[in-house]
Amino acid sequence: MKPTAEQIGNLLALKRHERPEEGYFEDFLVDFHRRRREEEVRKTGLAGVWTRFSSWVSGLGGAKWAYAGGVAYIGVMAALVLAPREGVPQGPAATPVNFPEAKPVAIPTPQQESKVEQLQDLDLRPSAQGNRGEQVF
Amino acid sequence: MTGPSWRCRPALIAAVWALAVPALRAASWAATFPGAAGQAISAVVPVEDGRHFVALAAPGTRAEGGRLLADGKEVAAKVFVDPVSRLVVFRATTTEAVPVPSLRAAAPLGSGFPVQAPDGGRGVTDGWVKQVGDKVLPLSLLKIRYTGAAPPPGTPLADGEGRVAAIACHIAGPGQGYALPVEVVRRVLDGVARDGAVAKAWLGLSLSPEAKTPQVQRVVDDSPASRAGVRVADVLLEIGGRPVEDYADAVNAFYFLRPATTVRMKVRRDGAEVAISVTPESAAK
Repeated sequence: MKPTAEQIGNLLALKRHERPEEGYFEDFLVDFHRRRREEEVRKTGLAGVWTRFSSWVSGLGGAKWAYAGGVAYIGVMAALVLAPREGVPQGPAATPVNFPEAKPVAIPTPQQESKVEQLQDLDLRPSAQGNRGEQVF
Repeated sequence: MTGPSWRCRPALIAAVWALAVPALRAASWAATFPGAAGQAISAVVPVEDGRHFVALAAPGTRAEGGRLLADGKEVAAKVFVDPVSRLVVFRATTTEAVPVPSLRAAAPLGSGFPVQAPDGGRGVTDGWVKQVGDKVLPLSLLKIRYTGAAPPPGTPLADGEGRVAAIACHIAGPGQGYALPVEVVRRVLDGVARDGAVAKAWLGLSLSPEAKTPQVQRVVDDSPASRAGVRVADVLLEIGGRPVEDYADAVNAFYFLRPATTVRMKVRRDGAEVAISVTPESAAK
């Protein structure tokens, strides 16, 4: 039997006054976030990792700035330690090195002033002076 | 016509004797060289054809200004000088040939070899001198120990057979002296005969007097040594048949090299002996 207009009006009046049970809205919010995180956990790959990381950072609150400062400090120190320097070998060469053929060299004479003189003629007087240093023949 | 009277004959005989004896006596030869202290006198040795005479110009005198004297009178002669040994060769142009003593092929190598001067002075060889103090000589000299005083420079020293073995050149102390070995005289005479001068040879390699071994320090580009294949760090072992043990030996060997005359050298390279033929050039270039 079809409800009458009067019955429908009475049902609508009842709906107006209908209220959810106690704590429904608080529980709903918590439940909503729980369901949401469970969905995130179920996600795989880089996107999931990034999402979880983002949500974790968001949950840090003010401490996230301390974490950021620490990470930046670590990054700067790592860059200074690992930065290439001139003259310092950077590890094994990617290509083999061909050393030039070894050339014999004369044993260098001491750099101190030479005492030995080479006389150019047979002048054995004490005043006679010869040439010092390397002699060309 | 009769001859001189019996009163004139003794006087005539005395006159003939007075004139003939000087002509029969051998002339006394000497050389003088101008210096700051006046004329320095050197003994003289006739060589080769009897018209060449070898003398020694003392240090501090002008060798090119030397004069050849026979009995105190100057004899016209051309002068050739070896600036290294200071030996001077006079080529006389206006005199008769004189008797010439023979020359040994080489001076005695060992010690204790007896030598004698023309005036009778005696001595024995006592090794070689290559360096005096910190001064390396341009060629090695014989050390002589004399029983008496050392003879003056230029005095020939002969062996027991009268062959010239050396020429006295320096008085080192009482009864001691240095002498030029006869090879030096031959080197000078050969240069004068061949080239009209005693030309110094040049190879184009350098040595260090301070080094313990005669190791080549540098080779001049486009030099005889470079063209012969001498390399830096080669250690000289033998030059022209003369063994080389140290720097002074090498210097002595270089003295006997002649421009345009090829010599064989031995060097040690990378532990092995290498033979090299090199043709020196004249150092005057």
